Amino acid sequence: MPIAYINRELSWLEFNQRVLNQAQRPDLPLLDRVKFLAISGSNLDEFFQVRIGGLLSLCESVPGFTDPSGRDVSEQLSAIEKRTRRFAKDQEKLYLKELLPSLHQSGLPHLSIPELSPDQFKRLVHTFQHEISPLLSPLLLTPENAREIIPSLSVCIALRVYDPETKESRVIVLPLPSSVPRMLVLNEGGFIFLEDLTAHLCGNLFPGEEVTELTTFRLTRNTDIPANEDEAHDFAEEIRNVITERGQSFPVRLQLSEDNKLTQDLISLLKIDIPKVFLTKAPLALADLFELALIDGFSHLRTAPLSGVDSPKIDPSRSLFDLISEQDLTLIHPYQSYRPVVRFMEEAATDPNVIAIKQTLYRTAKDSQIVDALIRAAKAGKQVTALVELKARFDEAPNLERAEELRRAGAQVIYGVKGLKTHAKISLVIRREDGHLRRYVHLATGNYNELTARFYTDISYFTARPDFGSDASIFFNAVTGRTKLEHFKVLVPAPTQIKRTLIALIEEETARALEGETAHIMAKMNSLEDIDMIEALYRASKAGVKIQLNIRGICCLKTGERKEAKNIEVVSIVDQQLEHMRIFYFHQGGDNEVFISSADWMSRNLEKRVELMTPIPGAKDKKLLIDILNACFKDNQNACLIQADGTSKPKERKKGERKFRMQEHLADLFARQAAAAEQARSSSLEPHLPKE
Amino acid sequence: MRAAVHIGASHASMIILSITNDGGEEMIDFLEKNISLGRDIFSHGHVLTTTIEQAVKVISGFQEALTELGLNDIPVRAVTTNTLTEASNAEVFLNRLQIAAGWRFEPLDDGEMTRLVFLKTRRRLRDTPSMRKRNTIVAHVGPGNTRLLLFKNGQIVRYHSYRLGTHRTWEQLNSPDLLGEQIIRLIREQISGMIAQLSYDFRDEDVEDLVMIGTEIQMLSPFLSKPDKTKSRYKILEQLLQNIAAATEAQRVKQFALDYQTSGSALPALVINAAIAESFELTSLRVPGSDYEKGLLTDLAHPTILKEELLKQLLHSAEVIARRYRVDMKHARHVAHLSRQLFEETQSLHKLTEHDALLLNVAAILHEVGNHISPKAHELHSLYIVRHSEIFGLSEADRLIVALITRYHRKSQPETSHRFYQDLDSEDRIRVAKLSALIRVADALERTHSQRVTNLTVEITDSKAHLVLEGILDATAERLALPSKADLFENLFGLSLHIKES
Repeated sequence: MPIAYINRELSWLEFNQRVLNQAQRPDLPLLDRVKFLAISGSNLDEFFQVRIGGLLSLCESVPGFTDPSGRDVSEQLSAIEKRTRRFAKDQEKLYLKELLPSLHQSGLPHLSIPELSPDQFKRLVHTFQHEISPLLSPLLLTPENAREIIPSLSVCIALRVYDPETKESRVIVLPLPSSVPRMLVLNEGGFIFLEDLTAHLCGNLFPGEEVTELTTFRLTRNTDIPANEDEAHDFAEEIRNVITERGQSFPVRLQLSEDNKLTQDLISLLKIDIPKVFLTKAPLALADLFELALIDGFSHLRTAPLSGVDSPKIDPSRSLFDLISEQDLTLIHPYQSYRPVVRFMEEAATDPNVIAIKQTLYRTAKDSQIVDALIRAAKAGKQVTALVELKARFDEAPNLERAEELRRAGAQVIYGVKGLKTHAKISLVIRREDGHLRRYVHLATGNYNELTARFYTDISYFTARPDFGSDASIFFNAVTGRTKLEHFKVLVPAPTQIKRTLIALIEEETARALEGETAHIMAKMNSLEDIDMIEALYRASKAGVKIQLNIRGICCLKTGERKEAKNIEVVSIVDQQLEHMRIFYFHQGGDNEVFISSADWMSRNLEKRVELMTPIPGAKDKKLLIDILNACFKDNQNACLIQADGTSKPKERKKGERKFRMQEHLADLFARQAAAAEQARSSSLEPHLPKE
Repeated sequence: MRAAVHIGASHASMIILSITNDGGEEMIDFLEKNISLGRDIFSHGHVLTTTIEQAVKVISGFQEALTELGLNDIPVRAVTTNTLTEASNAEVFLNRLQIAAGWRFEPLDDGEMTRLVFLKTRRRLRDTPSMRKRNTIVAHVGPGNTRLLLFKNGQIVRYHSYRLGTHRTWEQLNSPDLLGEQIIRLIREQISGMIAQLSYDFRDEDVEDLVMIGTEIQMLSPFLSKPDKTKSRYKILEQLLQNIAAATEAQRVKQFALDYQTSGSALPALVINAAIAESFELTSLRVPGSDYEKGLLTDLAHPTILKEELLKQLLHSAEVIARRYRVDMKHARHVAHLSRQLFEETQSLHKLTEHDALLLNVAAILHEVGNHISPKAHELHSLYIVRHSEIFGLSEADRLIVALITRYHRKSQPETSHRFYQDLDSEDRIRVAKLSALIRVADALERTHSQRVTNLTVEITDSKAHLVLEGILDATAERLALPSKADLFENLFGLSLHIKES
């Protein structure tokens, strides 16, 4: 029987290819293209850190493991190596052949040291001596320490230093300081890379010695290190250990900018296998190109950032609690401002009627206003409970810091739940109103992070419906260990219920299709990987259910003309905003059930995380979300069709079809709504009357 | 606002209720955590220290939840399963909880448990008119005991309780590794004696409907009936039993929405219910929705809800027993009526509670059941008949009090050498004596079995109590009967008793 699944790693690499495809689009503004290249580089770094490390660990812990696509670990690793080499070559080619010349033409040339004017050089030498050199920490590389001391993901300069007195050579590594910009921008236009300047001047660090060879390289280490939750006496301490361990974990990739004697010595000192070595002429750490993409000025070379508009339902002069008590409020970020979410917490912190605030925090913004509001509320004597997920990968350190701050302010802080990551996005505010308790709930698809909310598309849903409030209480009582994650009336939690509920909903559509009824499923998510979910979709497709999936990233479902897949359309959209909403729609014989969720259809989300799926009850809100789903499948500008082999093909405009770009459409839609509301407000004036 | 906390055999739970603007009630919060009380009691005979500490931790969590809502001061009713009384360290457990939580936990007695089952059933009957018309048996299979209530026309006509429970059975098996038919057979063997007993007890009854309630069966309700429906079939129950018996513990948890506390006890729950259905040859069954614990807690939070209705059912149940033993019902009811009047009129003397008045009432209805065996020494026959009769709504302790009142309604006065009486603590002995004193006087006033004396008042002076019999011009018959029955009254209250015509 042919294999019915796409390998998850290869599928993810195809997603990153779609990001790179954006960088390759000559019709996009130049700095947008640079940004997409940077994203593709950052994505690939994370892939190596997490997935390759994970696969190598799996190789040892589960020998003979085979994935649903039929590949064992070594076959996967070899397919990944092949694909990532091709990908890296594409990145290199794009940067060198297309972006670099275009940058040059646009007044942003990449300069080398010899190209600098004497004055420019002098200024840079000054910068080096005063701002860079003091931060450099040369490391002596020995066969004993080589695998441990080199920091992960830092661009490093390796030098062979010869001591004429002892007539001995040493290999020294200079990691570039992360606090200094990678690109040094010159007032006259253009930039030079930090490693070029450092390489040119670092000889001064070794007086009386001679630098005989020099090269730049970058090492990526595995970060897939699980915390030992069972034996950890202090979980915060255990997380600190994980962070430390990560700095010394085994290497998964070595990027070299040259192939010479010194790099060969590096390979042997690091004891790294050749399949993990990547040679590139493009700059190392392409993620650093973000600096260039966001460079001051040059706004004509990039798309203006989206500034979220106000929801027409929000009257700035009224309390959000009054508003939510009258009607549900659904916001689509970043098209609509994230400000009300922050305001919700800020109002709660100062409202004398609020007695308790409960909140999950996964990845918060630096200097998060939401956390600030929680701290204020706790200091004001309100019962504040914050679930700070310490296991949120790469955000462990800032989360630990904020958790400590919250704790000091008097909040009850929980470091997540044993064995599961808490990924649900929910906050609950309990107010005393006329002697009764009233609960206000905010449920979302994205993190409580006002920074990422500017470019991640996400949904916020505010409600004061008692059932939602009561379920929110169960949720927080469950994560604080006081009750079971059960007995929910409306919200659907994972790991206990989401998967079961979704499969039941898919099967209901299947049953309707078999009876000849109209059956339709639309779902928008980041990734689809769970085999049980895919199998349920195959059964539904076979029965004739129309299935439309908008999946940004991994899609292990194999499309194609087979009966199991012929009714399934999978579309992926990569555009200016990162697609991050999860919306699930089930036709239900016309009753239209719509959910938003923090969970993807991945086994890790459905079985290993605490997640929430929220049914949207209001007809207007449902319609809005269905319209968004329909817009995803209508997009013919930034959408790709996922093909049977897992690769993607841009969706082409049918004859006579107008250009349609979903993100543009939504930005226009919400801007028009906001403008109309603003106009209505400004034309009906409300005077301030003296108090009688 | 009010709250109720229940430490059950497998779960500890709390409900917080608030009064709505329209006078109704809404649930603010419901919390539930697993706890292995039932397992400890039936496999070790006592509650393990780890379980005690687990319970303390759970209760502390509940208290934190109340604190967060600013509700520390609301009334909280805290109870434990009545199976706790079978633990050798029940007192230690209760004391530890009380010290840790500051709440006084009481084991739910049989009477209260029956009240809760009744409340639940009554709602079900109200919602399902077709059930009201049918002879419906309600089986509550609890962790230690099973209660069977037979309803006819919405009234309880039979009530029995058996030492047959989910945890009791499961822990006694001690073979949790067996699967499939083997484990089912083992459970069936284990419960066969009790099932034979209940078949015998209900042998004359024509049962048309079976309502199954209990933690495990209601957790499994999604697998027994369609959403929002209660109807199920024996075949479905049997199939579910086969499926669960064939599954490993982990599969039971994953596939059948059970937890590790109930994955074992679910099997006896299914087997016992199946065996009950077989006893009555029923193919159609009912299982109410899965919110068993919430319903229980809501009713617990209201210790007085439906007291009147329940009282009616309790007295009805006593009358059903009295009729079974061919008691002169007019006489029995009249003695009950006079006892009640005496109780009220002498309140300042005995200072007993309303609950004691109820026991007196039941005793009055049943005082002559012994006549069915023999009029001679019938008070002794009454004692053992009442002791062995299930009276709906009365705990075993209450039933003993009632039995002893019937025992002392005539002839000898209570003595510490008497069997059963000597087992009571001094407080209960005094209660029995006082209530017996009242029934003896009431019985003397109804000596003629003609319901002559309808109303009375009691006038109390320094050394005398005068019974003023309203509308009685000549009380010779009563006056003759009184000396042999007034002795206990006079001894207890230190007053000589006299009759006064009005």
